[in-house]
Amino acid sequence: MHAAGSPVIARDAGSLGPLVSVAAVVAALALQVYLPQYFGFIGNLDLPLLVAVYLALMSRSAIVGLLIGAVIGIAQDSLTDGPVGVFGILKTVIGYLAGTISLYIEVDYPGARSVLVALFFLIHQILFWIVETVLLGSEISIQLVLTLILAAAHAGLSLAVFRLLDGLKKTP
Amino acid sequence: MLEFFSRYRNVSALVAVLFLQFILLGYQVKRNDDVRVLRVWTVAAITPIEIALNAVSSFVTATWQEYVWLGDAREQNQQLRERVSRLKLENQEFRRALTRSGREADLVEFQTKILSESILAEAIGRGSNPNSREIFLDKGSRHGVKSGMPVITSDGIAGNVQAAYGGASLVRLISDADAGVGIVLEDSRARGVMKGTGSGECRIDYIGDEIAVRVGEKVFTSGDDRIYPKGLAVGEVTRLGKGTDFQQIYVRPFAALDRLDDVLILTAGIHQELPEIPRPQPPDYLMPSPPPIQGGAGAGEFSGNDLEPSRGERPRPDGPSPRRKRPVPMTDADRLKERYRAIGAAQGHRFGEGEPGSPAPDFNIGLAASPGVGDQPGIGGQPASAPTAGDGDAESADRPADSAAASESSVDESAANSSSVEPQAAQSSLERSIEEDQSIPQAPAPQ
Repeated sequence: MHAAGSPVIARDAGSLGPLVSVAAVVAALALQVYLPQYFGFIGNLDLPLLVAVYLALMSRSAIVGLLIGAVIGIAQDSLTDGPVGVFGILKTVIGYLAGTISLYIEVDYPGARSVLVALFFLIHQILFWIVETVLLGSEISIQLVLTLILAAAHAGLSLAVFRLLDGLKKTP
Repeated sequence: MLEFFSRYRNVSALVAVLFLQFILLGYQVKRNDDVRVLRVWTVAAITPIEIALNAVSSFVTATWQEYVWLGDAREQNQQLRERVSRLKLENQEFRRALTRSGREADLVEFQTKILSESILAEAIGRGSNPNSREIFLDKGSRHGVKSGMPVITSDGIAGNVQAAYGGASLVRLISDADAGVGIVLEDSRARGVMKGTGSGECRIDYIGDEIAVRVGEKVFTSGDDRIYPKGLAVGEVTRLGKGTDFQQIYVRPFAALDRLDDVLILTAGIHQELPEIPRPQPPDYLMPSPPPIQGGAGAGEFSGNDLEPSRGERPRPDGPSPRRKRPVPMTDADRLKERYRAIGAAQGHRFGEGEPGSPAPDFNIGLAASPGVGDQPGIGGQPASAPTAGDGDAESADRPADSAAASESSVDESAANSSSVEPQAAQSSLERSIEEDQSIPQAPAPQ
């Protein structure tokens, strides 16, 4: 049993540079906004979530992960007509969880990352429902089947996205 | 503290970042009622705590005040009971004063209506003799009360002062067995003496059996006793009985003698008129219609149908329209006078113009032109005959009755052909009257 906060996995030798990370975030946000105009189903995907999970996992730090999540989430909120903070809160939590988990499990394995992405998507949706209904008083419902399908879709999509991002890593 | 944050650095950072974002989110979003979500969250977070604190505080306070701290409850309860008792007494006094004030007001108003001078007094006690009907009043000789002064209420007389002391007086009520009052009955105005019986009723003596007295008839003072002024209400007759010479009339006094409170002592009695007796108005008597005129009625005779309809009589809707001019009702004397006038006119006689000793008209002749007259024997028993045209003139009518031998025809003729307008007008008037009589539908004869 390890104490809280004590990493068990050593930092990966390779990581994304700051500019590449920012570019990845901007690209994800841009595609999230741009692609649904032509492919409507892409609107159900959360590309910034994939980038946030990836960056948080790769940071292997809870604080860095939550900050990454907060920044990406707030940036995503800024592109909506809703209040700023909803996706910020969600992705902060997801980034924190991803950063924390990355300290305990090996996240370089694609299968494990896909499972984590699916799991984080479900958590993300649950938190979204809580924030919308409990905190903001909106009336939305969770479509369980669709949510599960989307979770699987995100897991599958993460394989490609993460592979692409892995290719952008700087090798030491 | 720093150790805590350093130990739980990640969680602390998460909480801090989430907190900031919650603040940001709550500040942006407004609910439908234009209240920021941040305020709603704050209130929602604080209110349960306040409610819980308030409930605990109320519970503790109530428990302390209602179950623990009861040191002065007994004393306070006693004070409240005493206060309630005092308020009940005050309430009763106020009610009594209010009632008495109303009675006094009535009596004062009555005092202004009567002619006699009076002072207001209050009954303060009753006589010591249980067989007598006496009361004590709070006004005595110092107030001008003297023995013999009548005592009345707004309803009627009560008694008279027997003894006037300094500040009180003794009054004998009219129901006392030794009391007597001169009275007069309202309807018959019969005078008598009302005496007390020692009970609630009084009895009137000296009203003869021939006097009609009815139960309910009011009784007033007559002034004959020289004590009570005339015209004061006494009571009303409740029952009657036949005596040997006088009736036995019992009267219930108007004044509530058994519960007298405020009274008036008449210091200077003045007689006043008795109230007017309401006389019943007899209905207008209408005579029945006379029987219809049988055939052969004489000229100038009118049936009752000829009379002008009485005022207020309305024509029957199914009958003929009422005539605008009806003959004046005539008596037998009128008809006889009319007949003589026609006969005189037929002979050229002018009533009231002849000199003394001038010949009078012959009233034994009949008027042949008048069917009613011609059908029946003349007044002198001679039948009237039809006139003969052409053998008479106006001067022939001036002949004396005894010299106008058997000149009925000439007289009748002159009556028929007379140049004088008066006879013809009178005759035609009679004829019209008779015709109208026959045209009037006859009322059914009374059974």
